[in-house]
Amino acid sequence: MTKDFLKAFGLTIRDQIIMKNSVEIKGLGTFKAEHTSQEQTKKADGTTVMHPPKDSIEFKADLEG
Amino acid sequence: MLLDHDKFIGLLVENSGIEKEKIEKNLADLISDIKATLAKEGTYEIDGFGVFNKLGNNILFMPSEELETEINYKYVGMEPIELPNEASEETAADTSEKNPIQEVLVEEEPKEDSFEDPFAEALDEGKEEDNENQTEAPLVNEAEIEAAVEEEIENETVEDIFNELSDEQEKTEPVDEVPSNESDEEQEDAPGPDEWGIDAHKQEHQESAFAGLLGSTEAENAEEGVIPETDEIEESTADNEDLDFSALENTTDDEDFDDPFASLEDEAEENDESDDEDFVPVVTNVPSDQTETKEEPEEKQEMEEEKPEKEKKSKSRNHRARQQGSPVFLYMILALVVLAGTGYILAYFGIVNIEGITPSKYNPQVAQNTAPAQVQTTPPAQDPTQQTDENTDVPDQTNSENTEDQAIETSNPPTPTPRPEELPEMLNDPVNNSETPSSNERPLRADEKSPGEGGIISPVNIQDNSEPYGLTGTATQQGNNGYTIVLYTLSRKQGADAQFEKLSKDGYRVLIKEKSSSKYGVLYQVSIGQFKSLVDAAIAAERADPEILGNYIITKI
Repeated sequence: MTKDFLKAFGLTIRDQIIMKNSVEIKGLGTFKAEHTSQEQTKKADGTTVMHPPKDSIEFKADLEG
Repeated sequence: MLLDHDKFIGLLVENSGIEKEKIEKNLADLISDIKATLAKEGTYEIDGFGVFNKLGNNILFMPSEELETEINYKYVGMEPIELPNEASEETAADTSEKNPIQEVLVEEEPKEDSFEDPFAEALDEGKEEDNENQTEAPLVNEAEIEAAVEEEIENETVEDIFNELSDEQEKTEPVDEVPSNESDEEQEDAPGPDEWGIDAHKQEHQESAFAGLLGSTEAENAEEGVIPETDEIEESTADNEDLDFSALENTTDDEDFDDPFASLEDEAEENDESDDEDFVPVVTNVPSDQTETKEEPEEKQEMEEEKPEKEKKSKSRNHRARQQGSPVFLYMILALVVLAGTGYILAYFGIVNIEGITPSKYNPQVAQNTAPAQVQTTPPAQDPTQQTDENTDVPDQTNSENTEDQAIETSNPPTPTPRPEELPEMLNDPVNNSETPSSNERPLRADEKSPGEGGIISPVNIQDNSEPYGLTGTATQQGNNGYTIVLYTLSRKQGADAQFEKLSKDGYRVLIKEKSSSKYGVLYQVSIGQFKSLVDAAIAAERADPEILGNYIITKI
């Protein structure tokens, strides 16, 4: 396992997540892009906060592997 | 889209440039390494990618900050924002379901505020209060909503009333003409933001620009019955106009109404009455005062409003008194002017002697000292033939020649009046004693040959025993160092001789002095008397006959 492989591994998954694609790796799990839209939350002091949208990586392990 | 394992390996081959077998081998090594590490340590980290954590039988993946930033690159710079209350209300209203009860509650509360204070919306505080009320409305808890529902079910009045009123509005007025602040209807009828032009947006603001100042819109007022409809307004304004005119007509007759011009009119009437009663034919300042009162009613109005009525009455009385007293004052002035003019005229014509006004010819004192010109020029009649020649040929050079040659001496000398104590002495004086000429003496004749010393032509028949100084008698050589009274200055010797003989015949001591003039040639100065001093000459001149003296001068011989 070389550094170039690890670098390519991370970049490939990142690119696919950015493109809203899911990446399935047998024996490990599936990386999935998850989008969270903007939302408002009300604090205890009564103020309202608007949160920006957000994309995240959701990983689901392959328990069988 | 889902990338399966094979496609993922193909992408790794493309991105890394490594052979597929090596990729598959490295990937298998990575998966086994992760599992082994998680089984041993529970954590496996790949630099720049993330951390795998074992949590029970499950595996959690936590991406690194770099990976998370790269994934959310399009959202860079978007930070959580604390929103104002209005935005949160709008979004909350949009997101929340429309609850008719909440709408009722929201609509009722601002209306109550508008009833309490119609100008509340014009103030910022009123807006804040309304916003607070609107924000509180959606936050009403369920218990309050239920209580409101129960009240609504029991009463069943609020919405019915609003529906009835809205139905009436639709029947009476078109929706486009009367903008209403009912948010639901307006939002349904109004075009969307995409369809709004700039002008449409402005018009919408312009329509509701003064709504806050007016307290409520026409629709709300129509609903509430506060403001009638446009037709009713027009009718009511017409009625109000009639009422206004009637009120004005009534106010003219009303005594309670304080008419600022009433006092002026009363004064004008009183002035007219007073003018009718006290007619004065003399032009006075009364009309100008009246015109001033008419031209400047506002100033008088202000003055009269400031002062009490008593002062007004006293002022009007004083004004009347001035108007009545002004002719008397003018009469007095005219009388004084007439008197002054009369006095001046009388003084000018010599009827009344006033110094400075009466001419010298009418002044008796001046008349005594100044003789008429005939006396100067016309010598006393002696020989008719000689007199005609003298009057025609000889000009009166008395004043001119004397002023040229003997300015100091011929200046009008003061005529000192003798004191009473001196009069007897002067009478005893030989000069004074010899004043009265003796008519028995024979007349003297001037020397026809040549003038003597100093140009004095001595008489031929000079008396040796005569006094050296005196007014009468014969001239002496000793008296030539004194003063004499000059009567004539003649250009011809014959005229001088004639005067010499005449005066000598009257008993006067006569001298003829020959004088040369650059302008008139030789002149002959006829004088009487020889006096030691100037004072003696003046005294003698005062006592001499003024008809003989005429305009004389006293000069040194």
